Amino acid sequence: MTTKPKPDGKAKFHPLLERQLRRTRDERGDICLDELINLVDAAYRESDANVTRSRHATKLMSDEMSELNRALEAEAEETFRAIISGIDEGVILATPDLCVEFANTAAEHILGYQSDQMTGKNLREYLPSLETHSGEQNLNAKHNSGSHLDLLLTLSPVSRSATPHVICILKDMTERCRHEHELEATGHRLRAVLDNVSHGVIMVDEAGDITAWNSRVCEVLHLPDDFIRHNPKLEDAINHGVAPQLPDGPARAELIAYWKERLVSTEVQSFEQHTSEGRTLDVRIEPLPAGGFVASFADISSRMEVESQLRAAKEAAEAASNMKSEFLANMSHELRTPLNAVIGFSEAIEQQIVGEVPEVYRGYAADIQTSGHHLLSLINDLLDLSKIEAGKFELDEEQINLGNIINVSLRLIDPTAQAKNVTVEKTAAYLPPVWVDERAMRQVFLNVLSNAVKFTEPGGRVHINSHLDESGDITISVTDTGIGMAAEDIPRALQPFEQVSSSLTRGHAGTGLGLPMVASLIQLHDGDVTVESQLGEGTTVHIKLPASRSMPGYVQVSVQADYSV
Amino acid sequence: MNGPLRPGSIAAVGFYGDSIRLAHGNAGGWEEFGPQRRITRASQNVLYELDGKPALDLYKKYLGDDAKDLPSSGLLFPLKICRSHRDETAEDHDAVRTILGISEEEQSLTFAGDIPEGENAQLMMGNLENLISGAGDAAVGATPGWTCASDESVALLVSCIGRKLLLGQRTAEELEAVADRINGIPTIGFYSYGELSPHVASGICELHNQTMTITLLGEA
Repeated sequence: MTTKPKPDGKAKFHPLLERQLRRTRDERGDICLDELINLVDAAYRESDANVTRSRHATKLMSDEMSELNRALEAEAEETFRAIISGIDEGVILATPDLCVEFANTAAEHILGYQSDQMTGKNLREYLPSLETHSGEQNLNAKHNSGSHLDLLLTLSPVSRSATPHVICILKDMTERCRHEHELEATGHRLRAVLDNVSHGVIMVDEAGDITAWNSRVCEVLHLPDDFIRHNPKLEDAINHGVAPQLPDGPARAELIAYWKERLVSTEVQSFEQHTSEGRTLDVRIEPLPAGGFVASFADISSRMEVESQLRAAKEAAEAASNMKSEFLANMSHELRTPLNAVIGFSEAIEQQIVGEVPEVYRGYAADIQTSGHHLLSLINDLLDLSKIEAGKFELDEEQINLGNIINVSLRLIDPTAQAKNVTVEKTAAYLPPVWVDERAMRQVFLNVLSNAVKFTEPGGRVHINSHLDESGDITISVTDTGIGMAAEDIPRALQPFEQVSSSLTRGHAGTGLGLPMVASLIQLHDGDVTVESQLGEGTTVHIKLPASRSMPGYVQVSVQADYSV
Repeated sequence: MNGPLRPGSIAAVGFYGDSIRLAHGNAGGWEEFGPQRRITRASQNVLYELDGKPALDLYKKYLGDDAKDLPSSGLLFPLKICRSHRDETAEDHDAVRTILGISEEEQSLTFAGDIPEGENAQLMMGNLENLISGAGDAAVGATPGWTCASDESVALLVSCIGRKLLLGQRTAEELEAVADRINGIPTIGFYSYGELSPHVASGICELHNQTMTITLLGEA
């Protein structure tokens, strides 16, 4: 058989057939048909085997792929649940018609139901006011326990495992809402407090921006009501509130610089800020931990005015009082001088030094002399008191034994007491030597004792007692059983020229200068005089000398010794 | 030189001169199928696991009835090694590995070349017709731009012993497929246990299995 070449002579058969033809051609170029048929048959069989193998492989491959796909899906599902289980926000997975499929731990916790309990139920059973639009929504719900929940919820559609789902993300805002309400209420209260204080208050941050202020501050700084709202800068508030009339220049720059320095200061400061309108503002600045400060302003212009008037009045009064004292001190000398003549000549007449005088005149002269002495002692007291008040009394201090002075005073008062039938007693502790003016001290005790005898009825008692306490203070107390005085009169008894209740003292000669003099002299010694008294019961005068008057080194011994002199 | 053949020795022939011309081509005619699988356990030329599963099980599954004839039936299912070398593309390093033996005990397969652990591998499949036309592709890869006269050129054909085993009676056809495409250049050659050849495109030389490798020598 001879093969016909292909019509166009160029195109060839399939390469395999070409090769088969070539193989079956004999030396003359003829094709052996049997051989060719065998080759073609073998080729078909091989082709079938190939196809079978390919199909087998393809099937296995597709099985493998499906298995892989399923494994991947399962893994993805597992990963997905693991992720949403672990996150802090509540996540509920549901079908598009809101049938719950899964809830994570946080969602279980927020709503109080187990995931298993919720599965298969409609999400609206738990979130009745749920809306199906996607995006954020705030809604109220109830916890399993019945308590109220504020929730922030996001509903978003997702495609998982080729089926559509919705993911509901829950945030429990209950606590936060409560906090916000509390904060708001606190804020309102604080605002109310701030707006009702008499001070203007501003809070300034580190950069000099006013972050908070009360309505009062605009009144205090004479600013329009909404000035700070439109100019929330410390610089503006100071420029317009403190220095509206000040021309731009170094003074204004210095003022602003001063205030800006306050921004970085860490100490509380109080100062007075004078405004260019002539007002005075009391300013207090409290630094804030984060920088900046809180400043409070109060207009104290009117108070300053009153204060300065008061000061002037006080100074005038003091000047007048000094003038009086000086006048008295001078006058006392003038008063005493003529008395020398009165006393001296009356004594001369009474003692008939220049010749005998009738008995009647001698009596008159004795009366003149007694009155003269009384007047002299009166003038002397007045002189001393004036000196003390005028600040001209100078202490002549030396070391003395106080016990001796008390004893001398007792001896001097004794005749008077005996004549009046008043018993005078002494109980005294050992007292350390003291550093005092001896004459002043003698006058003190004499005055107190004579007062006590004077105001005590016959048969009464006067008691002098001394005491040294552990701190070294010395107290000498003189107690009488005299007429006493009412509690409200005690302060007056210590004031010069104030003798208590004239009806009671009428029978008692005196100037009313004794006790005030005692108080003044003791005060000059840094001591203190106090009076205890009850009307009709008697009076106790406590004379206290401070430990600083005691000679050092003796006090301890004296306190421990505690024996009577 | 000129001595008897000795084991452990290599004979090398060098050509030089201004007129010498060389070209090469290499192809197998195999087709990969299925997913790439990671070589999770291998040592030198022994493969144990692909994607963490025994590699032998996978081969048996794909061989089906032919599995009982392993390892010889494995010849039709070589393995493609897809190396990922830094910035070079994976194709630059692709190589085919043919099965030499199996071990039921170790569940392993032994290949005629290294199996790099950590790289990817892909199953391959072939049929006789594709192998034959693949040999022709090797010739097509070598001849473009070959200007030497046919009677001043020679083609060195090195084919894999595995191809010879598979093709059997049709072994001569792959030589015919080459001859059809090299314009009468005389051919010499032999069957080997592995072919060394650069990739046509990248020029990176690799050890190949199951390929027809052609080297053209000529004088201009």
